[in-house]
Amino acid sequence: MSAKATPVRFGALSLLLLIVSIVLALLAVLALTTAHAASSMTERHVAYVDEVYVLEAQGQQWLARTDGALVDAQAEGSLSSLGAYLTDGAAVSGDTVSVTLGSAEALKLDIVLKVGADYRYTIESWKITREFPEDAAIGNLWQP
Amino acid sequence: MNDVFKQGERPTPDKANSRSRAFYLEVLLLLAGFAFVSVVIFQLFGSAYNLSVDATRTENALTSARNVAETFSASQDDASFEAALAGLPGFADVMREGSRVTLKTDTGLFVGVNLSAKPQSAGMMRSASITVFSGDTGEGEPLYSLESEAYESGRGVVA
Repeated sequence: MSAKATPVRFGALSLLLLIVSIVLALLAVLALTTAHAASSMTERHVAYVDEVYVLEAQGQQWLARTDGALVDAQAEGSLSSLGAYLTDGAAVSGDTVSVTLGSAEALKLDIVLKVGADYRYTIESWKITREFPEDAAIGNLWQP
Repeated sequence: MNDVFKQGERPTPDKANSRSRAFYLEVLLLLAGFAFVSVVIFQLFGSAYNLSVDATRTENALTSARNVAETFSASQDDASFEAALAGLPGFADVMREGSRVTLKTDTGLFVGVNLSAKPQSAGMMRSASITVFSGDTGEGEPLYSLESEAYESGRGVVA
């Protein structure tokens, strides 16, 4: 005749620890998800700033080339010859020079210069924009 | 658990010992299980904390680098750049040694800026290589780097 086994009992203490464990686990998952979202936002911010400053540098280099072209145009005495010196798809219209740098998919920099009678330029517009396609998915920020 | 004793009847010493052992074993198992779960949960909390601290530090480094880069773009030369940095809130101990400017931020970071200039056909291209380090010396871990350029026309600025 075998002895009757003592059953394992789940009392108030077990219940309390179970509830505490569940609540702690829930809070831990929420904390991790929030931290991950903050990290994702930081990564996106870093990527955006990197992109902006690369574009800014391109703009400054274009400005330097255009200033050089203005000196050459001044030597020729005609603003109409300016177009021959410009690169990057810059357009001359009257006394304004404009260009769009960057790509349509990413950020783009629109620059508009106004050229004075002394062939010196003033920056009329220096604008960085991004075009959002209407049906583009924003992405799941909260996904680990 | 469901041993029923008649009124006045006491459990035998053997039965009482068995119940006591079972109770202690149950509490021990329960606590061991809870300890294991706690370790896993606190590792999750630790990971979340580390991730959050890293993100905050990188964000602070990014903000400092941008502020320095914007100040560089707005300044006309190295001396005015240094003077402008010294007047900015959040920056301290601005020092310049040759073409290198260093400063500390109020978020506990160290910023090193290497300045250079390259002649162009009609002006000068000034460049700043900005690196933000953790800690308050330049020997910490590099957190973020930014390159900024500013063109200065040799023919003067149109008012």
